[in-house]
Amino acid sequence: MEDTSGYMLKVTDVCKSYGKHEVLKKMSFEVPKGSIYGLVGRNGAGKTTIMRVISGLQKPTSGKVEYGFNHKGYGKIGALVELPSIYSSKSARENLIFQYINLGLKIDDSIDEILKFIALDKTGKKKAGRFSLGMRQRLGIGMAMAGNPDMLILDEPINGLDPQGIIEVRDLLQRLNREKGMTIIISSHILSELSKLATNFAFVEDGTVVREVTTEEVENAGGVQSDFFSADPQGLMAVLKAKGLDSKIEEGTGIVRVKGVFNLTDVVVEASRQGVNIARVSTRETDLETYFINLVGGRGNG
Amino acid sequence: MGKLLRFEFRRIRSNLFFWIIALYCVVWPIFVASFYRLVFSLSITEEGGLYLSQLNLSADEKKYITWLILTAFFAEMPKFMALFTCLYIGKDQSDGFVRNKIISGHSRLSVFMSNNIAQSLVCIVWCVIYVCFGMLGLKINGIGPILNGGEMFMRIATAIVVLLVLSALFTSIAFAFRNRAIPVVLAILFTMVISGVSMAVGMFSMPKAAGDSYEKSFGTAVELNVEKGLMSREQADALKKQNSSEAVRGGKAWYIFHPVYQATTAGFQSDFKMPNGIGLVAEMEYKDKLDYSDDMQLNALMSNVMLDKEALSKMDGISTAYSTKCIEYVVKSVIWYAFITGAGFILFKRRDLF
Repeated sequence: MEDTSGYMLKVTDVCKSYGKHEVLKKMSFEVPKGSIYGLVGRNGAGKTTIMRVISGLQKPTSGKVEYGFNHKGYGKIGALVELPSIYSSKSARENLIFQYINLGLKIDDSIDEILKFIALDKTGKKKAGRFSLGMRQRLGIGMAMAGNPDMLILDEPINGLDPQGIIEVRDLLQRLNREKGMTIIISSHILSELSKLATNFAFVEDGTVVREVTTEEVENAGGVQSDFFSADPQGLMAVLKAKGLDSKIEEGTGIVRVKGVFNLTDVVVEASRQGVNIARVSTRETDLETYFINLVGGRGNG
Repeated sequence: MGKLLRFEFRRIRSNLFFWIIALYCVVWPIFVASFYRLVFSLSITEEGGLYLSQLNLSADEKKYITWLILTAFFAEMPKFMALFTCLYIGKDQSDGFVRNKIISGHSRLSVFMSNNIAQSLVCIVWCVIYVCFGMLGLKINGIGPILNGGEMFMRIATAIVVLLVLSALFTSIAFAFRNRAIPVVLAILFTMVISGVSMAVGMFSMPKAAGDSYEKSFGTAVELNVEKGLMSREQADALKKQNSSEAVRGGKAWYIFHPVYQATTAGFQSDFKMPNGIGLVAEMEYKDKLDYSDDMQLNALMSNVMLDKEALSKMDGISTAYSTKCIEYVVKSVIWYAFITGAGFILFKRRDLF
């Protein structure tokens, strides 16, 4: 089962059905060691299900899940799937003590270190049930990181957090990855946040991974994209084609979209010479959201 | 498994409900023993007034009261066990900690068994506290305890083992569902039904051999009456039909309920005359064997037929020593405990955790 190929996790043709409903359809992907691996997909695409399968909560109907590290034993994997698994009637410290006992760890100062790391060291005897959503999420992450697992699985860890909470959790995860070398698999609907965090992405659609890319590949995939607003899109297309630019008219809107870097002044001057009026030009680089929408057809919400 | 057991014991120690029930097990038997003392000390003056006299109970009566008080947990514990087990395990599931255990690398078998063992131990601890403080209550009230050597302990231990079957059942129910409400309702419903079911099953406890022995004995006595001219042939035949082996065993229903009685522990309460409403007014006798001859003699007497109780009690299947019954119930309990635990684990293993 052990894999030394440099991958932390290898998922091969995993299928999962609930009754007749097939949620995962031959899903395959590989998580590189030391990466922050983002799972991107719309609601019901299968992100949470694959995370449950990876973390051992559910068994796949078929397919293989291989780990690139010795995952036998206790505390090798930490996970926060959907909601934090914490006792609402216990304090943050008591919850961590229970997690330590669960993992067979010695109850020592490292509990205080984790509490400090997740910024809950000043909560005292306050019960977790009275924590804010952000505090609960942080405690959930703290529970998951107890015992320094090799891999952390986080499903929507920033869901429902306020902007400050999002920044706190993002910072926490980056430090875990950087300082403790943990490989993190994470899913989130907030693609702008995910793009700031993840080093690799898997795009999940209808129970399968449609593409795996790195952050660089996302950035380079579409490069720069410019939208021209003109009363004469056909005339503008002729100008752009003459310049040898990759362009097309967007159906319905009449916007002329141009991919790649070009000299805007040349285009505007030439268009003016041809009598084509350009009302406005907007230029942007391809981001994760654009990449995702282009990939799955624009219906998704991440 | 050791890690998880340590986990469960720590969690139980910090559980308020556990301590509330433990406190109940301390206070209630002492209160009941004091109540018995009061009831048996009450006397009526010639003028019709009440006064407390000196307690004057025979050794057999003391043994009987000791038995009643020390085993009252059998009727009282199931509802507490149902509530505690379902809420305790339910919280683990609703708060998601059971997921933590699986993610941490514990097998589902370890998770299930650690809870099963912990719940069984909780049951044992409560029962032992109840018995110990029952003895203290009897002692301070001057009623006993008279433990009849090891016999009483053997019966109490058997009662605890029989209760452990319920503990396994409640654990399995709690693990079969994702939320807390359904297991709590199911387990409470079960405890409400079980007492009635036990009584019903207990009514069909008589073995076929005992019924046959009675039929034979009754038939001989009736024939003697016919010979002596005390009754006609027609009367004799009608009485023999009314007192047939099947009739005395409970009729056709015996064929349904007796196998249930034999296969399960449901007849325990009835066989051992465990504390219940009837127990409080029953005869003050501590018996060594489960004996049908008393009821049979009474039954025959209602048909104006006299049976020799001495001869009847020696007949095949009429009585079974309680020591034998204890062994039977322990064996049945162990088998049911293993079966229910196995079935509960299979259900839990097949369940997707969310």
